[in-house]
Amino acid sequence: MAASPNSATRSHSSSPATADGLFDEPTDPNRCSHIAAVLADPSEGAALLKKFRGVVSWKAQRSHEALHAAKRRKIASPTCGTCGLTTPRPFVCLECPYSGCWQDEHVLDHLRDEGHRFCVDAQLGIVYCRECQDMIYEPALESAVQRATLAFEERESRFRDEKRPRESYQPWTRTDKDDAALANTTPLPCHGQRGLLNLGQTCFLNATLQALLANPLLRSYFLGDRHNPRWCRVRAGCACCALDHLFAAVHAPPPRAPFGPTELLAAAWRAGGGALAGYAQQDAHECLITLLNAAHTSSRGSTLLKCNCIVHSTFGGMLQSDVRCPRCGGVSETVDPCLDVSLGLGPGKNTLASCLKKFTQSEDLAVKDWACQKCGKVSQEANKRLSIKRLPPVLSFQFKRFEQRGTETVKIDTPVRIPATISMGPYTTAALEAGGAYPGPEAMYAYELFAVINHEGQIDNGHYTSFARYDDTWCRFDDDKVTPATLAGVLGATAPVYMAFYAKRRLDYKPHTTPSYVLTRETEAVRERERAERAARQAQAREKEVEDELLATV
Amino acid sequence: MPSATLSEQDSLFHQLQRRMVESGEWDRLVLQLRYQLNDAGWLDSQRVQTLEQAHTMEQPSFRELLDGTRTRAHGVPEAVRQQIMTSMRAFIDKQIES
Repeated sequence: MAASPNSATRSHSSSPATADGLFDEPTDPNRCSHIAAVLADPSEGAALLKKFRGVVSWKAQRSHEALHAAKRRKIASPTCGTCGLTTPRPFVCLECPYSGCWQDEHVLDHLRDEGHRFCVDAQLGIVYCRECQDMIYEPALESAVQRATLAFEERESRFRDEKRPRESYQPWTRTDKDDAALANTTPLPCHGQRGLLNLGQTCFLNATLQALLANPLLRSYFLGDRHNPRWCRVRAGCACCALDHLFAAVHAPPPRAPFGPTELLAAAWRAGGGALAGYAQQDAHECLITLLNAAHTSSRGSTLLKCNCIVHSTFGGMLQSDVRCPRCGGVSETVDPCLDVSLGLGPGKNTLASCLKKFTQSEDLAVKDWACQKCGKVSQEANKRLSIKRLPPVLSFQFKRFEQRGTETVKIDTPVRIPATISMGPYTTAALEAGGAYPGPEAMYAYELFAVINHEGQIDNGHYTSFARYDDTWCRFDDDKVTPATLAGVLGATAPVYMAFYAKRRLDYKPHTTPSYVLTRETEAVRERERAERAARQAQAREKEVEDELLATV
Repeated sequence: MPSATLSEQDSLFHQLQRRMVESGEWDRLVLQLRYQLNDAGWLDSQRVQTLEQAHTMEQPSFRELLDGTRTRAHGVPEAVRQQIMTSMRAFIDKQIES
């Protein structure tokens, strides 16, 4: 396999400042040399990092308190060291206790007057260097911000159904074993784009696959060899093996001619029970759900309840439906698992937030003569409210564009504006029950757009295309044609958005529990052992009987 | 005297601002503003324009980008402005009363 172009110049830095930056270039021209020099010094560097972490933690604590504090309890209001006024956005000097405002350049005056070199924006954790006269990029500080904020969030969030707190994030530290394993390998880039051949009206499949390829959790799973086709127990037709082949094909060394996803097309046909078969245009959403279910079924260790296969770990959320009885006021809750959220479009301006608001609004129950379980009375005006009980790491939204009107299906072309980021807090069950205030740090609800599926044209002669990004680089995918795109192009695309995929900005890990299939395996093993012991004891007892009888005859 | 009135106004403004920050109302308003500007597409539009500016720069500099953003960031949607002003007025009224 071809080596990546930069592999020759990579050296393994072992300084503590970049311990978890495996591929950091020590001579990166974008790095600020001034702060690098300070961090390289053991005592100065340690002091700076300590102060820096302190500021970041302070800010995390304060932000959290501001939204969750008990009433009448004062939040800290930092003041500028120069003008004495409240600065809602303080810039803190990293070499002394001073903090001040940016707007009137008070903090810059301080740096100049005292000969101090660095100050940090408490809000974002970005550092300004007086000598560079600019905000700087320093990997050690980036990771320090992430770690300090994450540590705080972990302490502050409690899962609702488990009493134990979140699993703490452990960064990977290289061991000698790792070094040995990596010694004779060549690093390859873990991003790649490849066009997909249209196999006969299969743009619906291609658009869906590009969205799956851009999914960071799926990519990590398959590129991390978590489903190796050589060890797969499912015989021919395993959807996971087909996905593994797709990921390998897309990340293969260039040149990358368009790839024909025949395995996955076959898997979709098979799993769809005939619904997706044939060469007519199909629905991308139906295709996505079919493929996800097929992948779930062919995943090792997948279960029907609380499954932790890659599909459910990535897309699995829970929707809660609260039906309120108008007679007794009792609410009956039903919780259902879901892999995506389907949103209806309304009149007027549609945005993702407006569709979600409609989705979680209280509405009259369609079923007439609904019987309340609590008071037993039948009523016509029960009302129902949906909310999201559990947010999955990847949220897929589908806009209901295909509507049945009588005998025919029509397409609704109403444009929808989707944002690049969204906070899902207001639509969660916890928030709606608490009347708006939601538990947990704000960051846990932040999602970022990474893929979009567009559909232009009508039902029978329409065309699916998609946009997807790796880091900040967007591409447009039109079957085998891959072209560069920009965020502006994605958000302003004329072809109506059909589906949008968002990834959680921060992953949270629930407390570790042994997977159910491992537990059954262990209990089976224990039972086997006991059975064997009993059999052995019985055999021994019988032998003894025979011996006794023989002795008696003597 | 004009200068005395100005400093009275200033001092009142600063007092109110401090109270707003201390009560957490400032953070709540900022969050509300962020939601609404995001929903209106304003945040994304700023993001996109600033990215475009950054791409034209040989060596992106924070000061220049901030200046660029300041020039562009007028035209906050009227509906959003009204809502936030209403929330602020409600807070201030409560403060003046007590």
